[in-house]
Amino acid sequence: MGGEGGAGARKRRRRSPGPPDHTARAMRARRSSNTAAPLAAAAALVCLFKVLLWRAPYSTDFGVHWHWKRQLAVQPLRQWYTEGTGAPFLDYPPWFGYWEAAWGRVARTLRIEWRPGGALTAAPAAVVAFQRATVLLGDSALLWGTWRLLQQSQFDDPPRLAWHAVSVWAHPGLLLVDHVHFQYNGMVIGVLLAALADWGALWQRRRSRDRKRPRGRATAGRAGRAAMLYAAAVCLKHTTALGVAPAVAAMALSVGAWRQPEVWLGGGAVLASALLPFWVSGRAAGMPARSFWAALLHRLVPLGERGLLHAYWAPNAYALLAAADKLLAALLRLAARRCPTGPTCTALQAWWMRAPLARNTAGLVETGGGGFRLLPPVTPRLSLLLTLCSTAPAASALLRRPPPASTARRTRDRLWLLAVAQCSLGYFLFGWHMHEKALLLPSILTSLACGADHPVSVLLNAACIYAMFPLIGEPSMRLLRTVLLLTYVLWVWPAAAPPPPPSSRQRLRLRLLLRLYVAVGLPLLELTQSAVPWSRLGLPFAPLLLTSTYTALAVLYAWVHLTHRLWCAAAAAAAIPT
Amino acid sequence: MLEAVLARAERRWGRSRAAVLCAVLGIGIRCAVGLFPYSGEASPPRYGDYEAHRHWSAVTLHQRPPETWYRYRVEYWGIDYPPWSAFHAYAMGRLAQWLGVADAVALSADGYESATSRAVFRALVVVNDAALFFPLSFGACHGQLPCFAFLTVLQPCWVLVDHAHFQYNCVLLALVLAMIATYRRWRHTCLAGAVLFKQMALYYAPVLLADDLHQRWTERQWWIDLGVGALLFGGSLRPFRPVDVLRRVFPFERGIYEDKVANFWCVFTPVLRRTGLLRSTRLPWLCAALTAMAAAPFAAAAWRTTPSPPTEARRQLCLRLTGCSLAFYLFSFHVHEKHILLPLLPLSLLITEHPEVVLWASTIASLSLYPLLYREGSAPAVVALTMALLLCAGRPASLYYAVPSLALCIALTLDWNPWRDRYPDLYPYLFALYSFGHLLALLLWCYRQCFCTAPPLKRSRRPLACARKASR
Repeated sequence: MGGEGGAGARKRRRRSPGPPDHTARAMRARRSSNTAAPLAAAAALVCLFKVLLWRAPYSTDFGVHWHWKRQLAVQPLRQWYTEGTGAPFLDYPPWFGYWEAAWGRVARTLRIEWRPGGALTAAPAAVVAFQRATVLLGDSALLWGTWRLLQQSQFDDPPRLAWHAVSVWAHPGLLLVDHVHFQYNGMVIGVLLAALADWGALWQRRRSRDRKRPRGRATAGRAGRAAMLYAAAVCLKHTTALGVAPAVAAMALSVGAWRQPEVWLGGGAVLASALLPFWVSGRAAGMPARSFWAALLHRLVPLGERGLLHAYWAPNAYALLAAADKLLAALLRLAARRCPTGPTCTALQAWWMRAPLARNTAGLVETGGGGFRLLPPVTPRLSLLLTLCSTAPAASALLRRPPPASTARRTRDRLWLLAVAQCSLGYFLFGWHMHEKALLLPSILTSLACGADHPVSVLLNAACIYAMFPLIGEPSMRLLRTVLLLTYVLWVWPAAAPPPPPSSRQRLRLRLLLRLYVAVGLPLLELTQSAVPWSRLGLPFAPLLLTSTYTALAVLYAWVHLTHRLWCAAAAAAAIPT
Repeated sequence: MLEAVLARAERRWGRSRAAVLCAVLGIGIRCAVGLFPYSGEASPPRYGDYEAHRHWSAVTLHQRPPETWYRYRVEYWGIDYPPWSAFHAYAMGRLAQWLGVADAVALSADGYESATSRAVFRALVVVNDAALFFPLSFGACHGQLPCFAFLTVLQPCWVLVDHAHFQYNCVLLALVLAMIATYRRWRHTCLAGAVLFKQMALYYAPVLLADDLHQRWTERQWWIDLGVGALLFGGSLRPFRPVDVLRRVFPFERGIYEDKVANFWCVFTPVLRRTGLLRSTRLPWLCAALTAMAAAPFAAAAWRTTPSPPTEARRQLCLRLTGCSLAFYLFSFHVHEKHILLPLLPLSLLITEHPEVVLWASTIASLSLYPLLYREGSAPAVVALTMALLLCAGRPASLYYAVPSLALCIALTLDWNPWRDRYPDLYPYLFALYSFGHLLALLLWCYRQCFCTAPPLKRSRRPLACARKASR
């Protein structure tokens, strides 16, 4: 990886020899050659640790993915999104289907056979090894994407770059969700990070070349590649990739990429490769086009079937709302029972009886609708509106007058990453039917934007990892998940800095908050989870509720902080005279 | 690479935080390895070492008086370690009860397996490791981070035996570390503890005996130490009939070796069988004679030592302990695969002085454990941990032994290898043969280091030495 980057830098230097460019690129070339070997070793070590998790207890997703591999390898394309696969239907976009189908064929060639019976029948060792190996191979995209993003970002210090890379590659949230629970988030996030790196570079390229050489070939190629990568990420897992769509669209507008044909060609080619084969296959079998699009839309955006909240209440704004609703309802019930007789009391009781039953708290069941008991219901349309509003600061920051060429590369790069992180956080906070896993991308982006040891990223990442705990509830994982969280926190905990100057009171307050939240609150929460007999108290779901609300507070705080920071950074950049 | 990383971590975060991070990482690796199957998982009627430990806890918890412990169902999984192991099993049983798996340590729960009890027993080993082995290795390394990281994070062998196969060797290793760290003052006490936990700590005894004979007998501390050790022995054996304990602890009827262990007797089994020596009653004596011959030089080195700086004295001590226990491993009677941990522990303390040799020995030792762990389904753990070790060390010389070792592992693992099933004993024998060759070379290296070389005066230009310099 590093050798390639170094060669590329050398080639570019030959083409445009300018004094400032020369030093910067020479520095970058040196940097990549210095870091390549240790980074490769670190990547290999992380992979080896992932191998150690092969025998970890997996979830039902393991069986679902195996089922898709088996079925998609033999089913014709037109049946993928209709009835072809049988019970757990494919609800990922086509490229992910291709990925699964390819691995299904490999498994057939290797004669690896397993018919998943019940919910959690033990798979044979060969199937486990095969499935885990596919996740590990998919994670090479994560290695690559992180490397791409870090390589052209603000980290000049090679050890610090490597440290950042490891904190993403071995992010315990990813480890727990991908390598224990079983999913392919690392792959999707990797492709998305590479796309974001290209989009960010687009801005810089245009700025640094200024208007003298308006759209060189390299820029066009870069823009086309950025569009292709982003489209690929959308076609792999739309729920993850669409989280940064507002920021990417704003960037495309800001640098004028929408005027370049390469962008449309690249993105369109990827989308066509995802959709056309299905359409052609359906037409060949005489299937009306409209029914195919309807089936696809129904599988990919099942708004009617999925409720506002996911089973364990992913820690977003609606989890806070639902918790407040529960609390209010409990208080009201208490008031209605204990109130002294009288007309007020009768009215209260009548109101209580008429209040609709909440449909979001059925524990493990995915229920439709977004109703609360007392608060007004949230509809998909309202949720979309809220999402757009919450991501608007990122878009507006990018659409404002972009930082001029005279600003340091680091400033522009940080502004772009901040915008992306803010956007994905807003999407997670207000999106419809968010999973816990969707918090992984905003957390990783935040740690890349602010630096992994910034108090806010430590706070958000600790909360993110803790929010994954309900997914990994098996007894044999209890100790390991805690140890992984502890390792991560120790790895990124802000180093003991010299006493801060008096002006940075905000930073001091942040550190205090971080200490209270991570070092005091999380252990206390973990203690109450196991020490209090919730089931005997009649509150079997209280641990889940506590986990989501406590982590949602951190997510909300991080969103507010990032929005504020982004606002300040954008204003500062806009105030710089050209 | 590792040394540079550790040096930077120490500069940036301070030694204590870096050490805590190492320890937490080590605990994480142990937990992850604990996800692999334990010895005898789901294999009735005998199960394996996990069931043995569960059974010991049950026996010590529910069987009274303690005198009967060593006679209770010896044909199933009778206790075959000295009393401290029995007391330890009792403590672990109490902890398991407190943690809510009292069913698992009931006397009638033969072969009890559940997700919760498994998690609890695995966690108990981790707790033992973290509470005893980790602090003592920090002490025995004199707080040097490279050495501490090697002992707790990188060395695959004791992680695999304790956390994949399931045993409590960490307690024994911690006691041995204590012995090495306090060799001048409390060696008898610590060795008594170690021997009372697992009798195989006697592999170190000749070195201590030689030192005792060599030194002046007028030191007060020496007498106190000896007295405390003797008291420990007497006190621990008091509840039992010594004959019962001895019969269980030294099982002469259980054969010359267990499974395919990489020692002299296993490798020369074809020859021994032809000459009829394998069934002979003279065999134990022959073992004793060979072992004594091989170990005697390391004991005799006590008379050779000259006044030297403490680091050199420590190096010599570790070398002698390594050589002596390695001689026992290679030539003595009834050796297990796991006994390789005993020579490996003092040798691992020399990671900063002899990094190449320690890496080589660690790789070979984990290779010698491979057939055992492969049978239990933990092969990926062995390969991953060993490769991580070699990767961290980043020494190209390691390719010479890493490649053949990996080739052997792969050959055994491949399903379409027709030889594997046709000759089921072939591969374990090949592993034993290969490891035996290397371990014999290691023994010769120990002789050479003890007798033929002057202390290394010039500082080597290896990065480990640099790291040490930087950390000072």
